Amino acid sequence: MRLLKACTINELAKLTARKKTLFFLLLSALLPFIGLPIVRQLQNGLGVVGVAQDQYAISVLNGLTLFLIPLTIFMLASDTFSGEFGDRSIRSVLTRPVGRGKIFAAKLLALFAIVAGQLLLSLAASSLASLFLPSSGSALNGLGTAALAYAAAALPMLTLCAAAALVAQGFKNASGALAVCILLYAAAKLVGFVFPSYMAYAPTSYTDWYTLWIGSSVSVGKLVNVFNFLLGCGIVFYALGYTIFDRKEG
Amino acid sequence: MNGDTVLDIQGVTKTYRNKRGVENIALRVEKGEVYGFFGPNGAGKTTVMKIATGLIRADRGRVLLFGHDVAERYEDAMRQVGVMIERAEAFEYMSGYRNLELAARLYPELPRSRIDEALELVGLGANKKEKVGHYSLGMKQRLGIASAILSKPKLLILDEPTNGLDIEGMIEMRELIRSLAREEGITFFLSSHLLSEMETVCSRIGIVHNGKLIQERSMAELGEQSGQSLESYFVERIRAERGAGGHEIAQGMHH
Repeated sequence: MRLLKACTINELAKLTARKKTLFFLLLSALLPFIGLPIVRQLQNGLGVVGVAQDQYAISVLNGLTLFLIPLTIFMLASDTFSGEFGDRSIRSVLTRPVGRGKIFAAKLLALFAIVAGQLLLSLAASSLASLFLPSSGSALNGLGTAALAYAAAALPMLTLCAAAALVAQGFKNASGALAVCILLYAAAKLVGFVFPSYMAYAPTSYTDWYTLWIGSSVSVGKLVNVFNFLLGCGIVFYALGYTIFDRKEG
Repeated sequence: MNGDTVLDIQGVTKTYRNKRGVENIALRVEKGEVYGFFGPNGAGKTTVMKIATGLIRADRGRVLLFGHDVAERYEDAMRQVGVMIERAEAFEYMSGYRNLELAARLYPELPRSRIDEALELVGLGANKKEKVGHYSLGMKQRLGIASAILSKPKLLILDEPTNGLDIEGMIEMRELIRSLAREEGITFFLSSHLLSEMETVCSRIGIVHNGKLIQERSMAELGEQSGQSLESYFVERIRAERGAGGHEIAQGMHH
């Protein structure tokens, strides 16, 4: 456990030493403020019924889980699971008295920690930004709902981390891995739109499963089903990813 | 395996897709030895070292480090081992100090002051805050050595440790290896394709050629019994192995 912790701190230190990680974290915090003038313009200028104060954080979360966080995951997973093998810097990690199981877990934990950081920053920023929008209902209730939605959004993102770790290892350099991760994600989303009947079988269809948690009538049965599906996919991706990582030439 | 065997390579075979690799390599490195793994480029030295440090898996055979099987008890096997394989690779977007800090975190008992000590030892004290991406090849190689000796290991596995170093750097590196072996009792398993390096540093050598270990000999034996230089001994062994083409290979190894 001590070694896993040390490894995770190391992986986090490496990720946060990269400027692009900090940029994407910052973007997550700024996104709610970037979107604010657009929403206000729609409401004031065009008279369109826009987003109310208590729903703003959820709207931001939609953009976050559809684009920004997946892109961050693909980029960082490509660097850490493919780029380090490509430039052979992984050797300085693999030749220490730490098993590959711990290293793989630490890399995923660190990646997920960045995602969690994005969610937290964005929740705080969107709650703050929503104060500039017209009020509709209890602000405290709105915050509670938003917090629940952001917490729920973490699960499909975790599954996506495991999927990206698996795909990225198939490439010898980070740029190839990144391109294919993005293409596969876009294709999975597209297939979902074109053939809705297949949506249920693609984990990427549930990036917005947080909406199940915040509706007026929450279906417990559906929540459990989706939870099991995402968890199952995550476990399969993790197991496959680890098997490849364990045998990969360093 | 007796109590003084630090590294025990037992019948290791590995064949790559291009059919190259190593075949049935068996050798032991005893405590306090500086074992030189000697052979031309492409002979299989790095493959054996990668297998010995768990970077790749052998098709057959096994490697014991301090009595622990590398494939099965990796953490125990590597606890007292420092490694540098091929080029020294570090995270270029971090400073030399921060690179070593990452490594130091994995040895809970290691005091932080050891990072500066290791950097000073290889002459990188003044450059420790520079990003590794700005280091020269020689500086990166020194950082690789600092990283390998950081945890005060009892066995150092170094693949071509003087690669990328200038003459002065090579001499310093040899001095460092000799002093670590003599004063701190560190055992070495190092590879080189340079005859001069083997002669000046190693106490015993194993000659590897075309993926096979064709001969092992202590330097003392070589000098006292046959009076031969390592070069002439090597040429003789290669000729015996594959006919009269050995001399050209040997020329390539002489620095």
